[in-house]
Amino acid sequence: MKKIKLLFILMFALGFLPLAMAQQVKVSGQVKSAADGETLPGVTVVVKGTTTGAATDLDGRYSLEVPATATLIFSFVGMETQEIPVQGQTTINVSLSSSASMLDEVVVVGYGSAKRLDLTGSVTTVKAKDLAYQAVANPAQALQGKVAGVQVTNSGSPGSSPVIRIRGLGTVSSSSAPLYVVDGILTNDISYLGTNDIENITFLKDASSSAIYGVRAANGVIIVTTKRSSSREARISYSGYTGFQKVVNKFELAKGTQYIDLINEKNKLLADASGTAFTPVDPNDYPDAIDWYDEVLREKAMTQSHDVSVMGGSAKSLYTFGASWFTQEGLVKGHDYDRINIRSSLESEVMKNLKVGYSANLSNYKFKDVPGVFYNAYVAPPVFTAKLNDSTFNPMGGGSLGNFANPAAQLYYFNSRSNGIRFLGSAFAELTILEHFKLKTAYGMDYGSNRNRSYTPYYEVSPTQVDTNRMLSRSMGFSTHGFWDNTLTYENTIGKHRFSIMAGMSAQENRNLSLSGSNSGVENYGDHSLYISRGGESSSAGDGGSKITALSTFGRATYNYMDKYLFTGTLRYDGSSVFPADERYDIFPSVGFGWIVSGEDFMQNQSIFNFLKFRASWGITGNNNIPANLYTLTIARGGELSTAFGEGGNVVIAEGANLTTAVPPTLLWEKVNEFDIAFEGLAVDNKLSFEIDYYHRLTVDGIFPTTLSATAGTSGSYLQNNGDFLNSGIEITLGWNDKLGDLNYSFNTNFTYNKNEVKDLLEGTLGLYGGNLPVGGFFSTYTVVGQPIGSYYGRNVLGIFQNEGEIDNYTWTDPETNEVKLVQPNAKPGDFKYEDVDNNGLIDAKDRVFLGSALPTYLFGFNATFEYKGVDFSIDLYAQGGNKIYNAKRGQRLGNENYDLDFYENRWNGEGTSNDYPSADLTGDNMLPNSWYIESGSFVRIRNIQLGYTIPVKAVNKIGARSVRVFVNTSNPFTFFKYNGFSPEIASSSPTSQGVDLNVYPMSATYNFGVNVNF
Amino acid sequence: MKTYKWILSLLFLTVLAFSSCKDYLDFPPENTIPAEGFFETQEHAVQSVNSIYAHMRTWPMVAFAYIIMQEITSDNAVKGSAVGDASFINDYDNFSFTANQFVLKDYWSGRYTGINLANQSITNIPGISMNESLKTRLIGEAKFLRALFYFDLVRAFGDVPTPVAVPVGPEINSRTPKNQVYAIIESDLLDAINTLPASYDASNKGRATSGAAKGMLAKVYLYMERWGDAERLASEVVSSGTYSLNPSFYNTFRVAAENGPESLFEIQAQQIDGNWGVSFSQHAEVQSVRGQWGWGFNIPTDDLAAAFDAAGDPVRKAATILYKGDVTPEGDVISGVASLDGITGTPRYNGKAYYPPSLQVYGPYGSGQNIRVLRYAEILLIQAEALIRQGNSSASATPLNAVRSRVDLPAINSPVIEDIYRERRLELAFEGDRFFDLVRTGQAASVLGSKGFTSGKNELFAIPQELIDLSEGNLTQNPGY
Repeated sequence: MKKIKLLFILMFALGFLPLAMAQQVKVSGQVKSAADGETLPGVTVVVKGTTTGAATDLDGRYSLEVPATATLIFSFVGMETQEIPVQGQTTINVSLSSSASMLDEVVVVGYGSAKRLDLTGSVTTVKAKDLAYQAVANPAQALQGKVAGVQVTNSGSPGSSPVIRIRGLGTVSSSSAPLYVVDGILTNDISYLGTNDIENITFLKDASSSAIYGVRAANGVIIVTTKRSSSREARISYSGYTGFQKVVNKFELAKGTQYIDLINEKNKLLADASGTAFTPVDPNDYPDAIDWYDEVLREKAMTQSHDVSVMGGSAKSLYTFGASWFTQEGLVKGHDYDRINIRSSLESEVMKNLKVGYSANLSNYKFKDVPGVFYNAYVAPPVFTAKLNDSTFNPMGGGSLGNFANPAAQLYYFNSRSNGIRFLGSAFAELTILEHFKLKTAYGMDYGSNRNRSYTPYYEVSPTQVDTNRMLSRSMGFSTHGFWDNTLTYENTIGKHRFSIMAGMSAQENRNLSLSGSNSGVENYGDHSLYISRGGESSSAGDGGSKITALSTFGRATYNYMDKYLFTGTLRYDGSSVFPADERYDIFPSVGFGWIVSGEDFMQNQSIFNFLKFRASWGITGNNNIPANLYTLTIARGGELSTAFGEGGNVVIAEGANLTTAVPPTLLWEKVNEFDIAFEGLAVDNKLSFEIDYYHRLTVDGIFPTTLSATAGTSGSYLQNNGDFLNSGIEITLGWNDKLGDLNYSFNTNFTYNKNEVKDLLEGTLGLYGGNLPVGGFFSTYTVVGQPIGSYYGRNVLGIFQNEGEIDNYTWTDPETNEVKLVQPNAKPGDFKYEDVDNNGLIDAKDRVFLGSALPTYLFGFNATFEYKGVDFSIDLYAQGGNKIYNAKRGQRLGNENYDLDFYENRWNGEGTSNDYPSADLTGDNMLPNSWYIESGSFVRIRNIQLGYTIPVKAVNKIGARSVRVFVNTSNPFTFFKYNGFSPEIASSSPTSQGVDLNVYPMSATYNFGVNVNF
Repeated sequence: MKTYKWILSLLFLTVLAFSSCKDYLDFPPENTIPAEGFFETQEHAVQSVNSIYAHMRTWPMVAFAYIIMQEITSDNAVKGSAVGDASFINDYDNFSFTANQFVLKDYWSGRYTGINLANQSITNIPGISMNESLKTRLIGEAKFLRALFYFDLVRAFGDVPTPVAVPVGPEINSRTPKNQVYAIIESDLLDAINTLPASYDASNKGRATSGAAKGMLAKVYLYMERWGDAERLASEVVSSGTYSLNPSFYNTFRVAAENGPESLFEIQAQQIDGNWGVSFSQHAEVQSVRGQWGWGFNIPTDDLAAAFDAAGDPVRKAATILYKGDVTPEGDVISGVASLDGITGTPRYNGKAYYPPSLQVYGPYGSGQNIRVLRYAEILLIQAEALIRQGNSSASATPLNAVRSRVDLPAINSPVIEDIYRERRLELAFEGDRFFDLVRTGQAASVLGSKGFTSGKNELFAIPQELIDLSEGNLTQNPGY
């Protein structure tokens, strides 16, 4: 606490700076916007060369006592600053026009806001208009390609949160999700928000900007500001769209006789190898040709969104109310998502100097879930119809093809629903003291409750697709995350010095509780009858809970000298209950420097750069989202630790308990040590904007498993602060803004290069295997020093054995005995020929090599907009590359699973037919993780195309509206990629299992028509 | 100045509010039982020892690692199951496994996990204030069980690390010479003999007794070739009168005979409705009839069947080998799959792992069947062997023929050592001793050579490579690997 007191004392000292007083006159007036004549509250009015000033009230009025000879400076974010000499006037009314420069833009930063000009870190803002039209359940899904350095991987499933990585992947065992701050509330996801609720989204990418969030900031910070009223005038607006989603780039599977051909080829090879007789399957027995994806996918999945908002104010208050409804069908039949949002905010100047307010957002969502049907749809023989007749599903069992689950039946009998409520609310009071001090206190909470009900009815589709348990499970979860923040901010401009100091404290408490239960033998008489208590005697129950508290103090100082030299320093002192009592506090510092080169004299004689800034920053951030309770040694009890003694009638359960595990001596937060250096600016008459960053993010003390000696007899490994992971890269953002006559146009592009590498692990630490493949139980990735996190690891394919001769010629000579050995004695023609990397005459685990990584090395985004007399058009592109996909779905084979069409067309089926693709027999050694399963994950996508028309004002005024805009929009209409799968986007939140495609949600395009009306 | 005072007091209050919540971050984690506070009561002492017994029935102790390393390596059994199912097991049948093969580590870590549980008890129970005689007994039980774990390890790997207390230190990364490992086993069992009761009340039946400890030590002395000591302890067990042979060899392996007069020690297993944890053991499941009750691994060889036939021993053959088509005395027809990997002819299974399905209450197939560790019949054979080794063939006839007469075999009046070898094989088949017996008696090379056994190498298994890597080379590999 001492440090904090010191900060406060410093702030007071600054407040005592003497203020000069002279001959005074009283000046008052009103400030309006030149564009629409609306009054502007919050405009800063200062006497030039002094710190005397005021801000306009909600009616845009101000009143000041100033020296008669003074000059007043009127400044407001996004507006051109005006200077007006008083010259004895007592009323000065001003109209401010919008500023052409983005530099005056005010951006939110942690616990405050700042002029973009003053920033010394990497901060990017995405505005509402870039998001609102996209038909996504979760606003985060709309961010793909918008911001340099930000990778967004969407799974395609409605309502699901995308995997977002800011400046690469810096963690292996902890959460890699960024921190969201919604109107000051720290949260983990924003799936509850509607895109229309959002005013803007700001990314704090480097440590200088994010370190104010300390131990929560290591994965980057995304600040979301929701819509607020900015004027007293009441406004009602409606925006809505409706449309549909459709599967695109559907990956074709083998069908009908193609499949029978492959099965016969495979079975002949297997029979030949074991010397047994081979009887081919007769294609005439299976006349049907089915694509199972057609049976489980909707042709068109509908989407609708409607949003109404009311904003306005009275003399001292501003209010916002809104309600929205969003509904989206998933591509899979029966997959539905529905959400209603209600929001409200109020801000009121209750006393001269005292402002209070609140904001609240209530969201109620429901899901109808679907099972993981894609695996079954992929493997089911494409020679069966889904149903035998209107009421009976095809059992698809028996016969020579083996037993398969009928995907359509799987979908039909699946019955799972989820509902939830999320409430985020906060209230604040802000006291302005002595003009320059603002003391703000805010209390808020993020409350969530969710419930799920899953029921499996009695069904018997086939002997293997059968369930007679009538199992009902139900779960409920509740979470409350509360916080109390207090900040004191001092801002002032004295001559050429503009500075601000902020100090604050925050207390946070997160609690979770979950309850679950299940029972079998629950009869279904409709949803109203599905209760656990209506089942048999075998009900079970479980629960869980957690409590985490955190206490933080933080401060920031910014300084601008002559609009040329900039400094930002932040400090956060964080304590969190998840860490051991004696080591739970740490300091997270950052510093940033900026130099506005274009403000220097030597730059005044050039006309290329209108603005040029150089900035550099360094800081440390933390990731406390590590797995819970890992350092606490706990007792294992009951279950397998209990035994029974006695015989016959005297059997007694003897409860067991013991210390079975080991825990690390300490386990602390991961830290990211980040350095950022950048140029940004405007050139060619402000038409060209550019920003080029180099960053170097080193995760130190990363949580990574330390393998323990089995001889200790405790757990096989424990997590420890063990690894260093590096992400370094370059971000380039370019923009061009211009007009040609009545045509306004802009081009924006961003490019990111990132390199990921495990730099160091504690001595004695083995690497970490991941990417488990269910059939065969192989691991497909290995994380170890010198490679990217989750690198693919497997055997290297040299080619395909064309005939027995090639197998016999693949030999190795023992250098000691000169004995000649076959390297792959068990191979048969059509099998993979593997490289004997360690040259020992055997293909074994030591022949595995690194085969690339799922982490893209570059990301690319592009946006173009055109506006001509009310017509607007925009197009977005996104591309990523350098990443690989492990096409695991091809190798998950136990018997007569289906194949894809590409495989059918390219497979080896006799000498000389292919040296790339193996035979249809993908079992045995052909199933081992190897380079053939690795494919390029690069893709180029048209993210969005939109055409809008703003109806002329005269026409809409007749119906009482201020403005009406109609638009058509398509999202993801085209994606270009080579990968043999349904989508090159393989979303996995597990860092060591990324890009492993075990049947993902297919890709879809969205087509919408929408309208925005303002009254 | 008034305003400043006002701000100051406000700030003071804020600071106060924060500093007063020093306890704000200090509370035990939710939904956990912290280790502090354990090993403080008598109940904890009992619970910790119970957990060692419970560990005895887990996967690495009695399922794959056990059948693979103690039986399939021998001439008694092959892998079985389907071609291609767990084909790595064949690497043990033909001795081609390498130090990276994971069953080695399963075997190793299973036993050291047990040693940790025992060491927790042995280190921590002395500090608990509790009933002193119970305390002494519990420590004795833990030492008995620890001796079993070390006995497995020293037989399989030779020199092994020997942590005997917690917390463990650098001793886990160095190998203790084999004779010192045996010394630890001997000392643990001597302590157990001195501290354990000869029997328990009905509801504690199954805990280690002084008789079990004596019998175990007699067996350990065979491995140490201390024939006189082996004979002395075996004779003490015999003359105690506590134990006797079950009249029916077949019934010896059925549930009704568990913890009965022939039993010195068994791994306790029960099926208790609704209690999955206690009912979970897979010893019988992995071996039982494939396609009917179990997975069908660890399959009796024709060689074993021929050995029974050559000895004219239909009684033990019928109890040990269940052929497809057999009908058990309980009335179960053995059906199952048409063929098993490595078997030509009629599929067959380990009859000692047979568990009449009518007894099945809860848990995996056969999980209610105790796993026999030491039977009175073996004590008689130890006594007989120890006598012969000391040249006392005629005295050895008594215990040997006691075992033979139960299964209606004629008496041998002046037995030779080969008679003992054969009797051990036929009496104790599938009870985990065959491979170790072949190595101990020097027969391994001649009996197993044709399967791939290499003298000077395969007497010991490979130290799991991962442990050598983790010890940075301080653990050394056994010769030949």
